[in-house]
Amino acid sequence: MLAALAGQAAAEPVASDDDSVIIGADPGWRIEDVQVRASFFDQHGRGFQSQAGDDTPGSEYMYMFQPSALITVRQSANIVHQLMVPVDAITAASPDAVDAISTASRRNIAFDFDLRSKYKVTEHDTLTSRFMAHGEEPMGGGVLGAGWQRGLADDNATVGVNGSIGIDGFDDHDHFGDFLGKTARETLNANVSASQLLSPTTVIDGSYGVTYQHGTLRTGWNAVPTTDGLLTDEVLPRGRVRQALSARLAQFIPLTHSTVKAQYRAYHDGFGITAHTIEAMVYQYLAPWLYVRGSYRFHHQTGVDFFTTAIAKPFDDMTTLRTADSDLAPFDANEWSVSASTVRGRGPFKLWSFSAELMRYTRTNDLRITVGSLSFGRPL
Amino acid sequence: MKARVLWLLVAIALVSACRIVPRNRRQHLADPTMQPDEDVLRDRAHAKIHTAREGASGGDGEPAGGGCGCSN
Repeated sequence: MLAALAGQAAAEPVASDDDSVIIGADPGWRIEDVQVRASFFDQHGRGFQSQAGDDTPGSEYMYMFQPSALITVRQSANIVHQLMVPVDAITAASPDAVDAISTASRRNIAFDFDLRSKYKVTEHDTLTSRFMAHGEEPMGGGVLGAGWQRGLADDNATVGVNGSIGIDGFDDHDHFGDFLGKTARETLNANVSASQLLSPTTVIDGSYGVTYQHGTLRTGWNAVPTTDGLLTDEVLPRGRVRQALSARLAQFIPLTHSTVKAQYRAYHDGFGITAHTIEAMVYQYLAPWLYVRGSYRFHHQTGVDFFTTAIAKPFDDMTTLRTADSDLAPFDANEWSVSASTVRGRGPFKLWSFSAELMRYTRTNDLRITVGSLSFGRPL
Repeated sequence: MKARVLWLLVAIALVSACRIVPRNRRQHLADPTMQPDEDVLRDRAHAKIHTAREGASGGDGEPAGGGCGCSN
């Protein structure tokens, strides 16, 4: 959409002749910036939905290599595209589980093609668009989105709205791994957001979003234990409304060359999950070109109304809602990360930037993930 | 009492929000560490975990669920 607008923009250049004298002629399409990151995920834990291993709950052991790239392309003075291409190479996800029938979790490659564009229509108004395609065995899907953002009071404040529609198509399975045919789910999402400068060192922003999902929301091969020691299929509602409200404060401290950020998020959905998440981040400059970052995040969620680790008979095979998915269970999650980053344009690396991060995520219902990442980038 | 203190803090924040910060006093706001998207790839990697492993992910600024086949 924005590419089409770009053609119109080229035909009707916003910059006047006087501007071109001052800032030069618009050079047109060019790659502005490239960043590359490689992350390694190591996951351990157990969940009742998994049939991997000999015990119940089953293993959730997995490791994954994720290279990703972020390419910023400037089309004109007013239009910028940002393309993100993450590739998830899952080298072992519950390889002995029933879902290995599709080989989806034995060895899998998943990719995203995520293109976000910004078109500065006027000094105060910006249009955004998003096109995202996702592919992996045994599913594929995409998202189309658009938004508008307006700066107020000399950009002391901004307000914005955006929305998107997404469709996923995938193979449906039962908990034995038998193929049940093709199925799909649809997603509608709308958000409003605002930001406000509170002082020369303080900014606050917030957003509210609502998402409606419809279709096959379950993961086909997830199993639910019964009280007599057998397993049955997961059954989820076919619709889900999800709402989230978040606020974030960022404070720069000139005296110590530090930045502190705090974030709170509240969430509720039609499955009955209520969640609260707080996160704090501290950035400290060690040199004008080098800073370290430490963060801590705490997440608490209630489980869905129909979560069970042993459903009692009798129940209706087709209609009785049930899941043993550990992701839909009540739990607390703790996450911390530390990283060191250089600032491009400063210090010995000139235009290059480098970053290294170690992250640890743990849940109270037996899940532990460690992530190590390296990244680098430079403007072109 | 706690609620009153909370409302007082909110009121102070809103009153101060009326203050205009001129462009020539925004150098600290332009610091790389102050940007909301200062490391997009890192945020994506973190979101990968939250989206895949938390039933309460999404819904704010990003579509919730879909794309990972993980019941979110």
